[in-house]
Amino acid sequence: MRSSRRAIMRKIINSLITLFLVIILNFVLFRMMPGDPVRLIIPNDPKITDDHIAQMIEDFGLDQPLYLQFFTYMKNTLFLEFGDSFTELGTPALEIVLEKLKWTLILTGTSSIFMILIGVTVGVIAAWRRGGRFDTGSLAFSLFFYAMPTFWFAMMLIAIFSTELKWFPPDSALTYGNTLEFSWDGFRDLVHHLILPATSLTIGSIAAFSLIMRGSLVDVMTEEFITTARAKGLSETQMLKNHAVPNAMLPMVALIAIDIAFVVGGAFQTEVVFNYPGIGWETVEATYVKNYPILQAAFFLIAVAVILANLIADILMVSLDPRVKMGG
Amino acid sequence: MIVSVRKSIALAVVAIMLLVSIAVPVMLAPGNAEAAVEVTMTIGVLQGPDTLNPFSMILGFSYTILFLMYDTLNSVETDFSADKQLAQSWYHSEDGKVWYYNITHDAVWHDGVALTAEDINFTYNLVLDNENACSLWSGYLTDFEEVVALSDYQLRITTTKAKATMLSIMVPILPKHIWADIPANQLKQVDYWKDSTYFPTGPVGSGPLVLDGFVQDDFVRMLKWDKYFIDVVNVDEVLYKIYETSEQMATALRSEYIDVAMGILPSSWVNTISAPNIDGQVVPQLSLYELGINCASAEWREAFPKASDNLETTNLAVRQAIAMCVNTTELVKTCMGGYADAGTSLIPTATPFWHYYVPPEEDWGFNLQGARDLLTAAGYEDIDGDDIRENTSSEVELTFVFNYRQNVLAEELAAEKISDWLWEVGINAPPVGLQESQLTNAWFGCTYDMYIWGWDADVDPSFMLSVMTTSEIPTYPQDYLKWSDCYYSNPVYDQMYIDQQNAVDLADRQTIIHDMQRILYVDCPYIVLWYPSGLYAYRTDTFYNYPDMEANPGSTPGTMWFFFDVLPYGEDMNLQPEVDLGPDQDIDCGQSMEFTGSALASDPNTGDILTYVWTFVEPDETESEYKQESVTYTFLNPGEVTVTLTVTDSGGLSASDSLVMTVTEVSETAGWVSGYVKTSSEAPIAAATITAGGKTSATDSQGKYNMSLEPGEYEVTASASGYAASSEDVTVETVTITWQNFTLASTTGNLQGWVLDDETGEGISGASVKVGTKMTITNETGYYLLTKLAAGTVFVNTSMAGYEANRTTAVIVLGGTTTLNVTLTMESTETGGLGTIVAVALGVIALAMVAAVVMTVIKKRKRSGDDDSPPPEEGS
Repeated sequence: MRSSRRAIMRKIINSLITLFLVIILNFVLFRMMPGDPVRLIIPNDPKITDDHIAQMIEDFGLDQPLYLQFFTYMKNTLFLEFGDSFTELGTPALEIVLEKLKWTLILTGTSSIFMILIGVTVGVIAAWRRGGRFDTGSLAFSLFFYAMPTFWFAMMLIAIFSTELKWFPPDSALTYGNTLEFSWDGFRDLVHHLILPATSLTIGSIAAFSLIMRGSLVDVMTEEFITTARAKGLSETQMLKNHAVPNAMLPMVALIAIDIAFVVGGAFQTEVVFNYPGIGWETVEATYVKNYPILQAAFFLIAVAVILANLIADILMVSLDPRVKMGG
Repeated sequence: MIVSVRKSIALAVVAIMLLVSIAVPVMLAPGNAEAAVEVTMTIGVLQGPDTLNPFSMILGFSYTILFLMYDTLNSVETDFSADKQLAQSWYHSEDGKVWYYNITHDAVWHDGVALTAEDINFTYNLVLDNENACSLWSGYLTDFEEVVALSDYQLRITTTKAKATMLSIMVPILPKHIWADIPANQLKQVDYWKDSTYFPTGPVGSGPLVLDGFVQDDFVRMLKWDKYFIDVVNVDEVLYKIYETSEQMATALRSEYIDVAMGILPSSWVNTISAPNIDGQVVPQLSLYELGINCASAEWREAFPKASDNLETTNLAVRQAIAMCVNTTELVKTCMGGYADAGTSLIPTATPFWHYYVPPEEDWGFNLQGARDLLTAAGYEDIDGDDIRENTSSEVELTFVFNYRQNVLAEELAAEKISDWLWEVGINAPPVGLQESQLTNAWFGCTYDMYIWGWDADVDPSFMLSVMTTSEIPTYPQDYLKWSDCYYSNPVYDQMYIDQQNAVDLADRQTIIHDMQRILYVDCPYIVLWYPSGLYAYRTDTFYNYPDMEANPGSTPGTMWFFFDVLPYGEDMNLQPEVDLGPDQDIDCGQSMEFTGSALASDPNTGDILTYVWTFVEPDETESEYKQESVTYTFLNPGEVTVTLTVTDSGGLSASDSLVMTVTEVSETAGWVSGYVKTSSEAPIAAATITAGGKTSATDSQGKYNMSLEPGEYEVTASASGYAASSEDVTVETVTITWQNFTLASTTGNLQGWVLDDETGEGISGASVKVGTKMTITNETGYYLLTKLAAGTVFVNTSMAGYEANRTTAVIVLGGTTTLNVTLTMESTETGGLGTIVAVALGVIALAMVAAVVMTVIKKRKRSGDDDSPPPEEGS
């Protein structure tokens, strides 16, 4: 017990160090990018007066030396203040990013549930019936879509189901001009817009889960304890359910943990192709105009999610894997 | 973390069932939420507003929304000229320093309060009193001494000097009863929706559209304001949907999710407008792209440590030689796909009144040899044999730092081309792409010699002209408050800039502005490369009657004029009738003239019946009115008689046109020319125009004309729309009638036919048939007729709600009528039916899969119960 606790503590400290490094990197990275953001977001437009430009430079503190900018940044990060969005003055960047997070959670959350369920199921069946028709078929299917570029698959879906058949809308998360509301119509509208992007995400990523599940289960099935289980006369299903699958799930835990981070980070390509207003979309948009506050808030959130997910995975591994538990 | 096979299968089943149960009702719902009763027009845009706060907005589209929501004192008309808006009339003192504006009595704020001169007074004084908070608008009110509301409907503005821009004060008028409560330091921050204390009823403007909702990067929703005093828009709701890319927007247009797409990129243009039921227009824009040349003098560059040390660009001959090396026509073709006008002077062609049309003798042209000669004459020769010329006295090489914006394909292409051309005359300017922000640093650091960049200009030319004044040159690195990027300075030009600002007379100002542009064209600080066109695509099966934006670039989908014109496409589409009375005419006293209404007016709806009302206003203002198709009127009194024809169609839409008949006494020596104007098949041409000796007349319904002329030799010309004009020399003798008949050859042809239902073979009433910009609607039998079409092969687009659109070709014969029947196929019974089939199919497949899995599991379990099958391969 003691050793596993120490292992967990070590993991937590490691995570905190990583987080701190990420925060520093987050600052340095954006100050290294070429170009002056003030001049970037102000187009060559005669309507913008000189005073206005000066005001913006002052408001964003962009005229201060770098080290001063850094201290301001560290203090703000601790209080989760990333400043106002450059393009939407008066609105904190974090607020915008959290608003976008809602959409990302809907999109990647839905597709993650489906890809894990389908992936694990397909992987188990494929391993169980290794070499069979289902195994070959599912392998070919999932690898085919896994290898296909996400954006291209998404564009094909739009070309077929939106432009040609006109079944599903080609973009956006809701009917133009609607906002998210809790009603049957609102839900239907949401799902109607969700089907294409979620499908493209799910189908493209099934392979990641099914292959690992399959590989892991095949490995486990060759272990001696399985032979023992069989020798004890357990039925195939009992053997799978009680002995093989639980053991084969270990690598899946890591994979799912990383997937949770991806749920927060958004699916950049899919969101951009479908004009789905999630974090990925917002990040790409913010990159165009060097909208530092948004980028920092988004990257911070994603980094925290990745580190946290990995930490949880590590801790789970420690408590799940008997070798770690016993090994102390 | 214990997951069993059975559990995951059970979950999968539940999930799939859930998906199917959701998918089926979603697919069954036809058209989804679009079944609302109101008419919504959805317009795709590539850039949304940054904010809608009128004091802190930056991006161009914010201003578009602003001016749909608020009124200004004077309007920007469809041709970019200024006219009445809140101000209905105006006059100014002799010295042009005191202006009086009479304000409309009919303007009402969106919350029902009447708009008065006090609101305008409040707004202007707010801007004048808060220079910093209102910096966006204070530029329009420079030199203002005093603004006073003399009454509820009269405003007086006093300025310290005469100002040319008193009819283009583009400051949005804000409601005093709302904005007066907002402290000055809050002006830039207040939000219509978040600050409910200031805006209890949301945004309140007075413009043709009411701002209803805005979600950043998603959409802006505006609603019809049905009390608007100029006109009421023809849609209930306008939804601007913001897109990330041009392709996404084009896809949405093709998939029927938007009605109009603004600012499509040339790369996706042809693909977009060639789709069925989509049409588009290429519209001149108020923008320019230029090759700028650094004109900063050696002294000026001293303040800039990183400034380019090559001063040869300050030599006029070098700049002129560069101008001769730029083939703007070629650039428009290769860089802009032809969707631009070739560049010349500083003010874009979209405002032709201010644009200086460079005469051929002043045009630099594309003249490489001329450039070589000019450089040689100016003392630039290749001394060291490396193909690059040097200044023979200072030995400085003509090697220039040439920047352009990375990622802007058109500019990159142009930079490469220009560099190649320059190399041919011995100038070495390898193009280097920079991020826009880096280019900005180059600008404010004076580090480049040449660069390609662009400007969005104002309706009024003042700002664009100011960029070239000495006071706009940065005086130290990163002097962001200045606008000159070429560091051009010319005291003569500077003085002219002040002169044009103070020129109250429009014609005077135009002359000065043309002269200023000529100076710039000769001095070459800018070599204007092109004026890009805006590409607007729209669906023709959801709305019709789109304005002719090409002719009126101020009627794009960001202006109220657009919404006053467009009409929702429907079964009972009624197009506006057209009247053209032709040019003003001359007639002798005592003569009669027959006016034939049917020859002068037409209705685009095939077979629509028009009612005609003629009014004649005599020189003494007496008026007579005739409600009949043709009128024979006798002109008894010398002077000017105004003739007006108003036609109204069966749907109540009307149109009118006027002409002035100048009635003169016949001199005693006069003779007459008379005759008939006919077609080559001997049919009379009514309302043909006859001109001779500076006089104009027209034919009657029999094609007959009669005109008095002093004795002498005349060239008599007969012309009529759709026919080639014909001229004859005629000798008129005193008190004699000379006969001269004309036979006019047709230059156009007609197209007629029936639009039929593919299945029943019956005529379809209300279908639209379009050839180019001409459109008609079939009558109740499905018959259509389009007249005066250009001869040759044309595309015929036919569409009707509920049918699949048809596009076919027809050959129009000169003077003939081509018959073309079009059959339309019913659209497959909506997406609902097909969707159901697919949803059911998907459901069946999913269920079958699940069933198969479950069956296998059960089977397996059963089998494993009695005898365990050997595990595959490596088992045991």
